[in-house]
Amino acid sequence: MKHWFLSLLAIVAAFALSGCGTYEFRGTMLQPPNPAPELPLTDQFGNDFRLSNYRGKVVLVFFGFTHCPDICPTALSDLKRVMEKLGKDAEKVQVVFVSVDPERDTPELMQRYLASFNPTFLGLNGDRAVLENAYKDYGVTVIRRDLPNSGLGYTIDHSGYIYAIDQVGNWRLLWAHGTPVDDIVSDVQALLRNPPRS
Amino acid sequence: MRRLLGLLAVAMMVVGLAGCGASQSGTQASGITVRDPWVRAAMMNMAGDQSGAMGNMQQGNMQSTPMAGMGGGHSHGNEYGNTAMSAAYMVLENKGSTADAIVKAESDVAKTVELHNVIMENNVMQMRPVEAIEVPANGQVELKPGGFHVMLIGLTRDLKEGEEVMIKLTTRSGKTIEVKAPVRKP
Repeated sequence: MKHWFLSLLAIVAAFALSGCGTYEFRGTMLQPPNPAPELPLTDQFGNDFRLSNYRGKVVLVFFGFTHCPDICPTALSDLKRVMEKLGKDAEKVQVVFVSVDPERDTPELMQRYLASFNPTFLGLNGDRAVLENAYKDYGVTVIRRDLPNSGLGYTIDHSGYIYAIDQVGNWRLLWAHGTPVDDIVSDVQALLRNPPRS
Repeated sequence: MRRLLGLLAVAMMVVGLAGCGASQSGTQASGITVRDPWVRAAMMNMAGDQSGAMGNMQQGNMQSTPMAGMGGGHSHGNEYGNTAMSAAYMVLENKGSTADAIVKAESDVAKTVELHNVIMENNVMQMRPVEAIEVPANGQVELKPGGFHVMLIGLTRDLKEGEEVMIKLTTRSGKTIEVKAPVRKP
């Protein structure tokens, strides 16, 4: 009897370890996973950025702007904590911040802004037409609102999702703003544990 | 005996009230009081330190179109560009029996200080200036990321962790509240 129980336990353990026991993602999955649209933009150091250069890594994308002192820093500090919690696995993850305010997000502002979170974060900017395409491709709402009575001049209403692109360049997940850091960490670890084959 | 008890109760109440007043360090108002204030750490722009290629380019532009009245030579870039910002958060408590509101905020760490709110609709974030932050009678309002905040536009200095920022709030009832807010990491 004891024997029988032990072998059952072994089978269950083997099953769990094999990864067949399907992991339930906490973020929203994109089914089926499609190739993530390219982001042919320039980073804050003036280097060309291409998603295709990040095969083998998980890329986390957030759309925002530096003149957003409230929500954007919250999302970025969440991502900073995600990277800290990933520990050594953070090397296999690239965080990318795409500007929704190309006029004001100058390279120098982006450099300073992002460095205060994590020096490995890349801030992307580029031609308005290219950016507009990126917003459309990723379903990001970007609406400029003039604020005549504010020292800001204008603000940008924008979507607050964080997107995950897997190691083969497929767009796999999105997390709504305010998703707990631990949920994002857990999902990223799952992507890293089971890299897609194709 | 009963009178003694009554006296004791009154005395305790007085002590209780006095205690309330004293514990509100950094605030001095009878209606709205502030607790747990903090300001997000933020750095000013790179104006002044070693500029990269972009900085040089902008300086080039400056020379070709000299801007009259721009003292100090620190403000380059476009009208709204190169502005460092931060935000202050806190809990506003109203222990009074009448509603009140914060209608104005001032601080010497920013050129402009505004009251803002963030509205989230279909996961789209919309930040808007507001005329006032209402605090209901016997109620409280939390200023926190993703909601109401005191926005500091155009920082006059770096806000580093561990420092303190003074913010002066004005209530609709005409009182001013001095808030000493520690700077915390973003």
